[in-house]
Amino acid sequence: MPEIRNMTINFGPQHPSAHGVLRLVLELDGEVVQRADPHIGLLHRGTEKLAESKPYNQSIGYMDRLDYISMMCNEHAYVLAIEKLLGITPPIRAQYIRVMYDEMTRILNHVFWLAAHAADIGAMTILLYCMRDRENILDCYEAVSGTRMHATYYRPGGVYRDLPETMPQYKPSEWHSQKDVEVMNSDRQGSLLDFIEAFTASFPGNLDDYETLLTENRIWKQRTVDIGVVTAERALQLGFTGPMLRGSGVEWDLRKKQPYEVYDRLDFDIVVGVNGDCYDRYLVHMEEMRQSIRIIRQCVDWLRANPGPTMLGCGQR
Amino acid sequence: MANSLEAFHTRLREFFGDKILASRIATGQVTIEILPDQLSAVCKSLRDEEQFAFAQLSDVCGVDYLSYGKADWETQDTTSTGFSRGVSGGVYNEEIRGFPARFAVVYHLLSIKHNRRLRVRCFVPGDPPKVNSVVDIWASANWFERETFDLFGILFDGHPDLRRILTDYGFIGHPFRKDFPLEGNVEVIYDAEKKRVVYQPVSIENRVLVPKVIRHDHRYEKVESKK
Repeated sequence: MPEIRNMTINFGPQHPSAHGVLRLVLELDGEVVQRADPHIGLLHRGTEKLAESKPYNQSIGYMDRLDYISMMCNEHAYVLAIEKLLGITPPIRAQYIRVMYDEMTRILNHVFWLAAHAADIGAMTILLYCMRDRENILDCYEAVSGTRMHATYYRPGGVYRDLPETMPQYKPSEWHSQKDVEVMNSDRQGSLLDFIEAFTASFPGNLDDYETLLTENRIWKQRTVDIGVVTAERALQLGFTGPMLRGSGVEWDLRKKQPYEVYDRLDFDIVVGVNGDCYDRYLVHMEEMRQSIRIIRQCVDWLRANPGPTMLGCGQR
Repeated sequence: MANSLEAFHTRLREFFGDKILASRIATGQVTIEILPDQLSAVCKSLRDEEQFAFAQLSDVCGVDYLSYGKADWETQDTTSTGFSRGVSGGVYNEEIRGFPARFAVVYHLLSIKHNRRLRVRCFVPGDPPKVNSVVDIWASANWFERETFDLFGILFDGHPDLRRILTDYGFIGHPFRKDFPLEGNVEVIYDAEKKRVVYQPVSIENRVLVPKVIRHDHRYEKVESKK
């Protein structure tokens, strides 16, 4: 009988299904990974070192690039830290704008996660649908900051500017006729808030579509149910946070437990999983997007009714 | 909140007694300072004692106090016109606090049960600086400690696999030490003769970027019209 041994292979760092640059040294028994040694530093930029020799406000842009799928949330953490040290509180309108953009960023992030996750598992259709939704949110980024990804929109003491009254429009081109463009611009006739409101109306329907494609899909369930089970104890040991921790059944949400900005004024639920497997984490992510939509709607209503300053003036706290 | 934070602070002091060298409440969070040889014992109690229950280790990071209190920027006064742009290079604050060692390791703990955070600071003497690992207490310390070793050169005694984690293969030095140059020591280029990527001493110089700002609004109209 021939001797059967585990096989060690190198994966990456450049590989079509390695998101970013990730290298894994894998020990395989058949198709099952027995041991993995991740080499994670290939994208490391030493942000702390770069920030060392700069005034604090010049490093906000670096924070966008930490996790370039949820840009404004990183900015938010950084800006909040500066504000905490300075002992200042931004105007209430700025806080609502930040919370609204945080939640849009959450959707941006989760939608991209869903696209990549589904594509990796083999559900190719999802990818392009998700990119369509992502595009709308990136347009909102562009409308307030002028850039689609690395916004540098949050500033210590508020946000860079108030929400614009107009949305950028598509123009006819080789690929889009005048008629197409009119349809594409139909949500963009009013202010940014109108556009966001239209998005909150259309997006839940899209989410339903994705769930129709995936949630009860046999192949999807075969590949996620009981895969990657992490118990609550293990999740805490490994320092999990966010939807990863909630997927393992720990009811922990900073927005509820240690509310910052205006989260204590908003109505939403904490989403918790049961089994701690990939499937539960998937369900948590999906439901979180629905909760985000709820929060965004509340923010839109408030922002409509309450104009005001979005940045602290000189000498204000 | 402030009251319960005070109470928690007092409980910590009572429980650990003189194991806590110093402690303070700043920006809504308690920081305690302990000796490196008591780190393991204190951390174990912090995790296992019912009244603390710090089940999660959120972060471990190193701090290099080599240039603490030395500022390059003239930023004492806030203005509406912005910072002074020049680097003054060697403006030394006279009142630099005396630290017991150059390096410190800082642990950020989170208790989900009590909804509370704690910061534990531990100055690490020696060259190379060395402290006990807490991997056996919190598994998340594994990579955090590798990172701290990689970037600051602090050794963790008892770590199962203390390799570099973020820097390049064959990297020399610890980049987050204050005496490590911002631009680094080596750069990689493609050598056409050798037909491969090679390392060579870094060719760029450290400089201060001064963004060029062109403004066209009413505040500048006067100045422009005078010209």
